[in-house]
Amino acid sequence: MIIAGLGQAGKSIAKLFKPHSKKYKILIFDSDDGLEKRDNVEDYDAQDVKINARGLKSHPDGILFVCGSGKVAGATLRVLEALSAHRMTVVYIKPDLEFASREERMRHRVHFHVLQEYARSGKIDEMIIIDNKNIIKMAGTGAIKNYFEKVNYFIYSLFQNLNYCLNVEQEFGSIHKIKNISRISTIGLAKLDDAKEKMLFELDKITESCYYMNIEEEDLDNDETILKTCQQIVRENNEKGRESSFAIWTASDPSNYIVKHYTHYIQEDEQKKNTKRT
Amino acid sequence: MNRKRIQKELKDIIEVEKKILFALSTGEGTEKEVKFVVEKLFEIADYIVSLENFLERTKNED
Repeated sequence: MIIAGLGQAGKSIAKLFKPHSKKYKILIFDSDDGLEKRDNVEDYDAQDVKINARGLKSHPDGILFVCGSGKVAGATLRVLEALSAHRMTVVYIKPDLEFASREERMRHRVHFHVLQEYARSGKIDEMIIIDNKNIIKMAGTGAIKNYFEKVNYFIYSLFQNLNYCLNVEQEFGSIHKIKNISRISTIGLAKLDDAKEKMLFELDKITESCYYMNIEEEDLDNDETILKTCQQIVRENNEKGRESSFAIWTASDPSNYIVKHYTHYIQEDEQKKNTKRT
Repeated sequence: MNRKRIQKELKDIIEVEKKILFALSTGEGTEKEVKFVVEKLFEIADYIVSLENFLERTKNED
């Protein structure tokens, strides 16, 4: 699998996958690092991106991590163009708009909408939206020095977990096969005992969900209520009119689940929703 | 009155943005044309953000 990081945030996340570089092909794009330094976002979009990495062909799919408010994010479409032979998922990190400058909001607006249209039209395989604000709430940040380190590590370990589930045979159930049109998604997390799910982006009009239940080995062996609990979580989601399914894997951590919610509806950003309310 | 005019302008320009986004997603046009369209999207987004800022600043004037 290709792991590509664009811009400061994307690059930092992609670099965390390096210790597993036998499985992943890591590609980094930043100013003076695969891209020529430019003054504005339009000029980043105007430059041609050429990838001269060996062994790229043996990776049919990939993930591109990008935060949409940076100038370098302007090169997103050019990077995707250069990787068009691969099935690419874009993980879009939505900036905190409350503290964003006018330029950052403008850049986010274009990238957020263009990428959703690209996902809907099938130019990219999937767009996973995660909101920086929600990640910070979940990961906690602590001191400023480790602020981004913690956030980036949280995103990295989440995708490592998901990749584990996709590559290791489940103990029970099956991985949800999503409809071809459901290409906009987000991720939710919860402990199994309280099932208080926290979503990484408030996805509107969810149509499908896939639950990755990670159950501690001891619970798998001894707890007779586990299956019923899993079924109840999925049933409640079904009752909201969402097609849902689940599968169970063995985990070393306390029992928890990751859920991927999908939709085909274009998502509005917070600013737009607020303006509508005024 | 001014706010209402700006709200209508915002609605109209968002419709224009949607049409351009849709056109972009069809994948039609030469590379040069696509780059031109993306450039225009940035200009439109800049305008939208300005209108939104104005509405946010004047939200108590309704």
